[in-house]
Amino acid sequence: MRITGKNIVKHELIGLPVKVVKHVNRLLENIEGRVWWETKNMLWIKREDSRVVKVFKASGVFMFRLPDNTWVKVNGELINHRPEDRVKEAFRRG
Amino acid sequence: MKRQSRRRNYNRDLIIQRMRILYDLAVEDARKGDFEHARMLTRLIKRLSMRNRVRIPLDVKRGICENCDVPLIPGLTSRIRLVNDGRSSRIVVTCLVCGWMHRYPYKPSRATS
Repeated sequence: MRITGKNIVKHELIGLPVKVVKHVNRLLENIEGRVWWETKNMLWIKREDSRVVKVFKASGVFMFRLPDNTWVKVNGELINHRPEDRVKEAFRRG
Repeated sequence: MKRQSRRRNYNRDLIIQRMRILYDLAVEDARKGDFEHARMLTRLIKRLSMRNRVRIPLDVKRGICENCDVPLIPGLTSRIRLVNDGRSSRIVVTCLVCGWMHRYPYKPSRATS
């Protein structure tokens, strides 16, 4: 199945182009790049200049570009889990 | 089909798709020479499999070195040989990074033409 707006919370984020739309730390807003790595609380975003920026997931709003070239806005709190745990049903609600 | 098993199949298919995406990214990294990041991605594949109890697809599993976790790319990180010892034939894949040898049975009748 393809990555859609509905299953992005469970799907693989590493490798997707991402934009930080809103963040508690204003310096991290408008950062663009690709998701390079993901941990329980952070997204490591690799920018075009090859610098890797670590961004807290819970305190931001992100836009991911799906393979069909649509952008999906995701609240950081929905993806604030370990990548291998995000797929579990328990995290689907709330 | 019961609702529970339908949901489990959906999750399982999703996880398998994620494993393939991660494996492709790992192979790309290995071709660029970044073995460390490639290892991180293959280890994530193993964690996805362990924590969610989903078997890694055979072609992905045999494409990862079981000793050092590097993606096995023929010519770059692995050497593939066919060995015949009279009764049986085997494929021997040697990891060029750590030297570990993987041996798999090979039956000529299974080979695709």
